[in-house]
Amino acid sequence: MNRSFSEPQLQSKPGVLFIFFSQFYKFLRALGPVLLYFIIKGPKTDYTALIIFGIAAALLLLLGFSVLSFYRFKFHIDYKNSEFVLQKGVFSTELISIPFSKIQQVYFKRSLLQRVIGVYSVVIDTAGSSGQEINIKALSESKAKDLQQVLMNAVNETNQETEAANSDKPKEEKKISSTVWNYRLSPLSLLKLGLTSNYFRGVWLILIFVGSIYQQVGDFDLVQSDQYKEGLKGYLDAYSKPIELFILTALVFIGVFIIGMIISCIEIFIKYFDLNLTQTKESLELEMGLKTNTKISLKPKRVQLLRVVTNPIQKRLNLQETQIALASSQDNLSKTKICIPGLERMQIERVKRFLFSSPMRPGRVFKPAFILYIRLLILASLPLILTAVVASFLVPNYMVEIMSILFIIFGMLIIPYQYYWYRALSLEITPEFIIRRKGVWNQKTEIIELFKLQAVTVDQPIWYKKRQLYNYTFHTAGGAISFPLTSHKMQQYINYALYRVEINKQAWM
Amino acid sequence: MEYTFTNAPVDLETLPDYQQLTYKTVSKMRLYKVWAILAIFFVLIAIGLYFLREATDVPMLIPGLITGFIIIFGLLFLYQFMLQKKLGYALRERDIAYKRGFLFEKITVIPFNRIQHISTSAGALDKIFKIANLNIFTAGGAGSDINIPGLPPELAARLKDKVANHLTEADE
Repeated sequence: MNRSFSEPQLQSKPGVLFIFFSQFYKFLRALGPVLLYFIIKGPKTDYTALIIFGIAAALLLLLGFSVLSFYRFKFHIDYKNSEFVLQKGVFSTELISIPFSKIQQVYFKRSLLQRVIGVYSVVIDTAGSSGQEINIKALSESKAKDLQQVLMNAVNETNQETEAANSDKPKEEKKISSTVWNYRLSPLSLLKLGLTSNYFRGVWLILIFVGSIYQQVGDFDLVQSDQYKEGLKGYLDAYSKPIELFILTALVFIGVFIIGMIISCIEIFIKYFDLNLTQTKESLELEMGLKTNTKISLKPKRVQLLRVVTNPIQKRLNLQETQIALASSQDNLSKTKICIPGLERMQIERVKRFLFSSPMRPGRVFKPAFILYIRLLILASLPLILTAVVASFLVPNYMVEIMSILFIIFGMLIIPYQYYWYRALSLEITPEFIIRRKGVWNQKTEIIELFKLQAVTVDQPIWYKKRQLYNYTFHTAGGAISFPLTSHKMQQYINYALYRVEINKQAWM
Repeated sequence: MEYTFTNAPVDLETLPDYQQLTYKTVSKMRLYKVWAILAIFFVLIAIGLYFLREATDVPMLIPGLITGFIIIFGLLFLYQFMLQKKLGYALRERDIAYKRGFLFEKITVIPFNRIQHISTSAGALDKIFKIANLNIFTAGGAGSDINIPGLPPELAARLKDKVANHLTEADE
């Protein structure tokens, strides 16, 4: 039997027109400025014929290109290998095949031009970045619908087969109907959360706000701002005794700090008001927000990366934030990230237990090599060195003061901070998970299930060859985790990770 | 830091080691293609300099530029030559590894059951030099996709089919 689309097909005939016009549009956009120049300047009489000839030749070439690219664009369905095959390209050629099981969805799209010409885009979407989706840009309505139908049927057939195979496995889920447990964030916890969160964001918001107002005022009256400056100068002069100036600065700092705190609190109230987390039999339901109510249903299968964020104060108050990265078939795996703040340790354990298919077991912990600390120090001192160099040109008389300030910054802030940062960084590989811990104040714990890995990259700069140090990157559909400068001993565990992925038959999304 | 893989059902030592893979090198034609591109640019710059010579009267500008460009292009040619030896791929039963990078050696391993789709492509110059690229896409984004250049077209097609067959096998 000859099943539909099993022979290589061209797009619908009007497609030539569509390709031509879209190429023409691209051409115009590229040459637009030049053309505009000629039009505005007015054609010189001697060249008119030449220009018209040139344009005609370009159009002909474009038409030829469009026809060729129309005839070179062929697609068909390979039922034997159960995949969709596409061939395209005039000068360069590309041959793409997509197995049915990887197709996420097939949908139509229509631009204005496509409407006018009367064709449809059929987009075949796979998981992964937006550039990877396949777009058949010029199909007649009937053909487009046929293709969608046939593809979706084929996809569903294969998926049902695999699902049937999967459903043989016993489900260990408890048969409790609807709610298993429920967690509500009280306004008090929200307040605690606001008070202990990162104020920098709040301060930053103020700065942007003030900055924009200042700019607007400045735009209005330049003369007055001079007077204002004079006024400010007089004001400062009046307070010019060092102690008073110090107190004034301190007051400003405290003021900004308090305002930042208030803004952070307000933001958190708006975003997370009435947060309600419910676990049902097969998903985690999240509801929150004052103005725009967010409602999310989390399925364990879709979760790619789980991150727990906390800081020492929040830790003491037993409030942790959980961030979850999902695999998304939409645009550039847009790292659909979900934040659930203010969870208690117990709730996090529950969430983990629900989202992960196996319990946490201890594994081998890796630390980056000490040379990383030195590299961090060098990197962090670069801005200081730059400052010193600039200062030596601008204010050579104050070099001693400036150098001592820079040294104090380096010694008191950078050396300890980078040390603790380096100390905090670790990677644990357990039989089922990869866990990366990092952060001095904002402590992050990131967890990936081994079988959800997509690929592993190991790289090594040539100058670390002797030390046998490598950088490792673990890619998932919800973002990657990388870990720098670690001994070659981790390679065994890379083998193990690959082994876990390769023997795995669980659906990863 | 002791060995704490208490419950692991596998012995790490006996697992197949991706470091022990022997990598197949890519076709020399890739190198010639890149050299050809570099040469074209070099010629274009030389022509540009020729015209600049007539237009400028800054002393020592032209000799300086010429030495500069010769050094830069020399390094680029040399870099590509060194890179050529470092490009390689290895196919195993269940995954594919791709190695590249001269100063930064990089190996990416993609298990077959995580490949989203796979394609071959050949640009105009690739066709002149009779080579093709094999592109493998995963759901892990650009960081984990690989693009193996400089394969003979029939080999690229064969590899593509082979990996594609594994894909459907892996699903079953």
